[in-house]
Amino acid sequence: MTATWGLIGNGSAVAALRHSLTQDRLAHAYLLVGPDGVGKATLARALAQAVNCLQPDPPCGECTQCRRIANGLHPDVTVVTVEAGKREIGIHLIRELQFSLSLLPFEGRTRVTIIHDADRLTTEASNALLKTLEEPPPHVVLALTCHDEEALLPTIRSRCRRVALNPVATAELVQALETAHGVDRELAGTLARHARGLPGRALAAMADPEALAGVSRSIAQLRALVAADTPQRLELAAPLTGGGGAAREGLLALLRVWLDWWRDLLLVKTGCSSGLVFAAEMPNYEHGAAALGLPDIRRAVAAIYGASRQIDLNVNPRLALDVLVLRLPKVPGLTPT
Amino acid sequence: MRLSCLQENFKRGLDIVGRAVATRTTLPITQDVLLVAEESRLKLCATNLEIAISCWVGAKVEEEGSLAIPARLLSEFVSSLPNDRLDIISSGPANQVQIKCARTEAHISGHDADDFPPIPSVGDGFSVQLDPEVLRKAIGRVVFAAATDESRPVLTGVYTEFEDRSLTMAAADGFRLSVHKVALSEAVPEKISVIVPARAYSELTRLLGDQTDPVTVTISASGTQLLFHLNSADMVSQIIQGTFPNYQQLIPKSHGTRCVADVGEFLRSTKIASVFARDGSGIVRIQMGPSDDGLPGKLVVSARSEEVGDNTGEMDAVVDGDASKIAFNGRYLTDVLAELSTGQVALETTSPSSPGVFRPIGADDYTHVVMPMFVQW
Repeated sequence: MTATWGLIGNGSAVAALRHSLTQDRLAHAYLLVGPDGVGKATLARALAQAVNCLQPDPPCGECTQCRRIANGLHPDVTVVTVEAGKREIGIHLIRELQFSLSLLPFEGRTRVTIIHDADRLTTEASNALLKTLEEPPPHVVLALTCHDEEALLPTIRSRCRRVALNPVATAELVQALETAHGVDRELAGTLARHARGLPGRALAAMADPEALAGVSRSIAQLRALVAADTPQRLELAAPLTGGGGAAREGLLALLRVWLDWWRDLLLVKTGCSSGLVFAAEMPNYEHGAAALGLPDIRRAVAAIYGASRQIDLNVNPRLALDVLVLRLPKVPGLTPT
Repeated sequence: MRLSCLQENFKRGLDIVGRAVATRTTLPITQDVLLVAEESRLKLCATNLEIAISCWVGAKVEEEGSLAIPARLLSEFVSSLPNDRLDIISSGPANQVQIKCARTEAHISGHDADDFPPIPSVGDGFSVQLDPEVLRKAIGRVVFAAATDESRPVLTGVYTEFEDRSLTMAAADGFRLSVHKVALSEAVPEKISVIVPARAYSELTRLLGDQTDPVTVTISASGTQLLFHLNSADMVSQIIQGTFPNYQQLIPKSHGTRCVADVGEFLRSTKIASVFARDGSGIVRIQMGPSDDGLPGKLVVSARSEEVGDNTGEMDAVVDGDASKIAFNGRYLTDVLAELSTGQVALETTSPSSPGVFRPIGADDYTHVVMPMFVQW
C-alpha cells in the first residue's frame, strides 16, 4: 500500500495520521467526518491496519495482519454499524463492545473499534460510550465515522480527534480511476463527474454496469416530468415510489441526479458552463436557460433539496415526491440526448 | 485432507471444543470448528476470542490438510451417526468436506482454514504444575463471587496472582469477595498477576473432568495469555486488562464477635430461611449469642416477610465476644456455605453495618467477605 493508505484524495488527512503514527502520538479516538462515499470507512480500515501491521512502513497491505483486516477477519478489529432493518445503533451493541475491549488483543497489537454512522447512535448508546471514549483501555483505538457531525452529542465530539474528509477534485479522481483502477479516460471522466468528488460513489458506479444506465434513466424521467402538465406529472411520479426501505435509498439517488441536472442548468444560465456533470445535456440546458428565469431554477433546486431532506427524515416518500413534481417549473420541448 | 477416525472419538473431541465455539456473531467464522489433519492425529480447535480450546483425536491420516466447518451443523450431524469408522475427505470443491460413516454420507460447506483466527501459542513465559484437585477446589471457591454483569469487565474476572510459592485467586462483584490461596510445589521466578475471565475458569473445571495428572499452566512472557495444558485438551484464555480493586483493604482486620458453627446445619437453616425471605428482598437475619450460665452459645437464623410469614432456626455454636446481629442476602450465604459443604465455619462480624467474614475452620487458605444488608430489627 502506498502513502495514500488506499484513499483517493484527502492527502493531508492521511499525512496527519501518518505523522501521528510515526511520532507515536496517535489519539485513542478519532472522529472521521465527511459525506457518504468520501472514504471514511477506507481510512478507518487503513488506520486499523496501520496500528497492527507487521512491516516497517505501515500499513503495507501485504502482511497477514493487513490482509485479515482488509477481509474483515481480524478478531481485534470490531466494526459496529446500524443493524439490518434498524435505523439506530442501540446500547446493547455498545455494551457488548465494551466487554470485548477489556480483553487484551487476540492476535494483533491493538484492538480497533470502528463505529460507522456514529450519528445514528441512540442517546443511551452515546452516553454509554462516553466513558470508553474518554479513557479507553491501553491497546485500544476507536474510529467513529459520521456525515452529520451536528447529530452527535457534543460530549462525544469533544472526546475525539476530528479528521475532516472533503470531496475530491474531479481531475484527481479521474487520475486515480485511470491509474489505480485501470478505467479508460472517457469513462473515468464520466464516473468522476457523476460522483461529484466522492470516490466511493465513483467506485460503486464502476463496479455496477447498471449504474450509468440508471443515471440516464433518471434524467429521462426528469425531462418527461418537466414537459408534462399537472395531472400527468402525478401519474409519472407514481411508479417512482413504493417498495419500502430500499426504495427510499433509490429515491434519494434519483433526487441526487435531478439536483445535479438543475445545478448544471443554473451554471449554464449564469454563463459558466465548464464544470457540467452531464455535458451531453447541453442542448437541453440551453433550451431550459432560455425558457426559465433564475428564480424558477432556484425554486426547483430548493424543492429538490427539501424533498431529499424530508425523505431522509422519514416523511412518506410518495407524498414528498408528489409535492416536489408539482413544484417543478414547466419546460416543454426538451429532447432526448 | 483425507483421514479416518472413530465416530465416538470425533464426537468426544467436538464436545470438548464445542464449549469454546462463539455464540455472538461479530466474527462469523468463530462459529466454526477448525479441523487440522496432521501426522497421525486430527486436531480440533474452536475459539470465541475469549477462550480457545484445542484437542487431538487419534486418526489415520492419509493426506494432511485443514478446513473450518460450522460447528453446530457438524456436531449435530456427527452425534446422530452410529459408532463406526468415519471418513473425512476434502478433495472436491474448495472448502467442502465429505464425511462418510457406515451407509451415511454428507457434504458440508466450510471456510478456508487461513481465515480462522490463529489459536494463540503460548511458547515462552513460565510454567507451573498444579494438582487438578487443588485447582478445581480453588476455582470452585472463587468463581461464584465474580460479577456476571459485564458493565465492569474487571469484576467478571478472577484475579490470579503467582508469587514465590503461592497462587492466590480472588473474585468480587461489589457485594462479596472470595480469596483463596494455594501452595505451589515450586517457586515462580517472579511475581505475576493477571485477571482471568471467570467463564474461562468455569470451562476449565469442566474440561478437568476426573483428570488426576497435574495440569501445566503457562503464562506467556507478554502476559497476554494463559495456557492450561490438560490430558484431553489445551485451553488458552485471554486476559482482562485493567486493575483489580485492592481487595486486601476490603477484608476487615479485626472483629467483635466470632461464631463457629457446623457448615451443614448453618446451610440447612439458611436454605429454610431463604424460602421465607423470597419476597422480602432475600434478607436473612442472623443473631449470635455467647454462652450464658453454662448454656452453649447459639446461632439463630431467621427470615420474615409481610406476605409469607416468618421462620426461625437455631443451632449450637461457639460464640466469642459480644452478642451480635447482622443480615445478609440469603443467596450469598447459601453460595458460600454450599461451597464449603462440610466441617465448621467461622463467621466474624463487627457491627450490623460492616462486612461479615467467613473462614473455614482448620485451614487458613480461604476468606469470604459479604456485605451486610441494612434492616430494621
